[in-house]
Amino acid sequence: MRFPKWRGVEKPFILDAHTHIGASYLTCYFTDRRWTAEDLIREMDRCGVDMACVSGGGLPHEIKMMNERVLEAVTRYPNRLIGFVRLNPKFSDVLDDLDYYIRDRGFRGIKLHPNQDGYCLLKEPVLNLIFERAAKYRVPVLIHSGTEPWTVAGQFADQAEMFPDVTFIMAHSGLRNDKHVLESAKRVENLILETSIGGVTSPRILGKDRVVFGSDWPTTSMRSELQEVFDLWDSGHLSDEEALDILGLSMARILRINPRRVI
Amino acid sequence: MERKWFIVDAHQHIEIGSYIYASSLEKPKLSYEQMIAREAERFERWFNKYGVSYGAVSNISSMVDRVWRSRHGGNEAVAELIRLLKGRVIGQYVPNVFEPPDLIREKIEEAVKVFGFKGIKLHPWVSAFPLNHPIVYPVFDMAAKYRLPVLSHSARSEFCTPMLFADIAMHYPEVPIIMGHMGKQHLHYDVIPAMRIAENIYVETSGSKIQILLERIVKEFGAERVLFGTDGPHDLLPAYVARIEDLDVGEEDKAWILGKSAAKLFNLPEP
Repeated sequence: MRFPKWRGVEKPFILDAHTHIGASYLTCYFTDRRWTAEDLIREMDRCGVDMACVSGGGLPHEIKMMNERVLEAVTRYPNRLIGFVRLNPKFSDVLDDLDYYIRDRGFRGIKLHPNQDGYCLLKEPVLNLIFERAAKYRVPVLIHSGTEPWTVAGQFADQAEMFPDVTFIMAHSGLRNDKHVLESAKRVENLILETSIGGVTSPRILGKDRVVFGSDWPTTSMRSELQEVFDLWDSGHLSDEEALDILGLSMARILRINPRRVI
Repeated sequence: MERKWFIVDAHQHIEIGSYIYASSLEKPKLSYEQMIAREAERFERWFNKYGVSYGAVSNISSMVDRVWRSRHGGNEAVAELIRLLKGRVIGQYVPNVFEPPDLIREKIEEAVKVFGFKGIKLHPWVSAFPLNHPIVYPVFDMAAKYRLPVLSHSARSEFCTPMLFADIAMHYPEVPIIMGHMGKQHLHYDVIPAMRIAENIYVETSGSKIQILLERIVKEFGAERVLFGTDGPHDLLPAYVARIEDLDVGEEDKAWILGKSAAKLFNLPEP
């Protein structure tokens, strides 16, 4: 992939805030294929992505096993992959899994999928316990968005108001379907928009560190999702600072990690 | 942008009319003629910048205004674009399905014979009608008569689900029906079953980003039933092309998706 070299910028630091190994919610009913950590690293290398937040995906019964695969992956590629634990609040040991992967194994975030797991982002009581722990461990929560009635923008803002110490990341920025994304994001400062499928919201509307690049690979083409940021940068819709923040610096600050270019 | 492909953008919109300006509550600063000239210049610049050979264009305001204020409700602006851009614009006429059937037929005939429109665009969601309702039959009658492909928005709106495409496509098997956006990110499981029911359903790629779905469609139905689109014109063209380049399909399939399928459907010469 060719990188923009205008305005004195060469290869920017790129952190993909949303990837999967195994499968993704949107691939698992179209194919039996399961993607490995090596597939992900190969794709990151091809696209120039330095680091990626990764969670396990697939059919509901695969979720717990995939957390183990993610642990193996981040152990094998500690400089490239950042583990997010995929939690289903309907599992009785969900808090044990949270403690184990975050506290004991160094995962840096939580991934929730209310649509796939069949609960409401606002009304599932176990979520309160998950968010309390997210605040305690200071880890962000990446949540699928854009599908009524389980996970819509107003519910994100309501939860973000109730848990002001938790950083909520709206995966897909509402999937281009939810008309309340901006209004909801304006209500609270701890709600971040992730770009995959939903597109790149101008950070001028919400302020610094409120929009982060994600691809949801292998659902999408990682290169195409990344190219959207470059296209907006190249055409003047994003300033240098805005583009560099979206591409990786903002997510690095959210995760409190050093933005290290490895490609 | 590197000109590797023959590209036809099967889904574009012009931005002239009451929808845009009524929404801003401001009177347009430019005259109608100036707006037409500005749009023509914008499209030409975009075609040249990104190496796009043709674009299929309709006017948003014609879909949003359910009571038209001119005879063709804003389609006149697209007619001007067809005239000014000399062959690069494929005009997609937006009929007003709420008008009397004979008047709909009369206007489409005029659009084809006088203005040179080559396709139909429907937006059941914003115009608020079911795609398979009998009020749409006069449109499809004319599409069949003049061999006009019909592009329609699809999404989770109850007015334009993929199953309604299958129903109307079975009623009019001679009319190519293009499913704009492929059901977006919510009705993706309906797309392939609808295509199985009706061979005259094609899909247009903008708004959908699920790679595996497009790969399955190419594998089962062939790339000739997939048309590239942007819902633009906009500056994300390189990203949209990258998405097609990254599909796990053959290079020839990519060439069909990016341009050849639309060229065949609209009878366009490759430059």
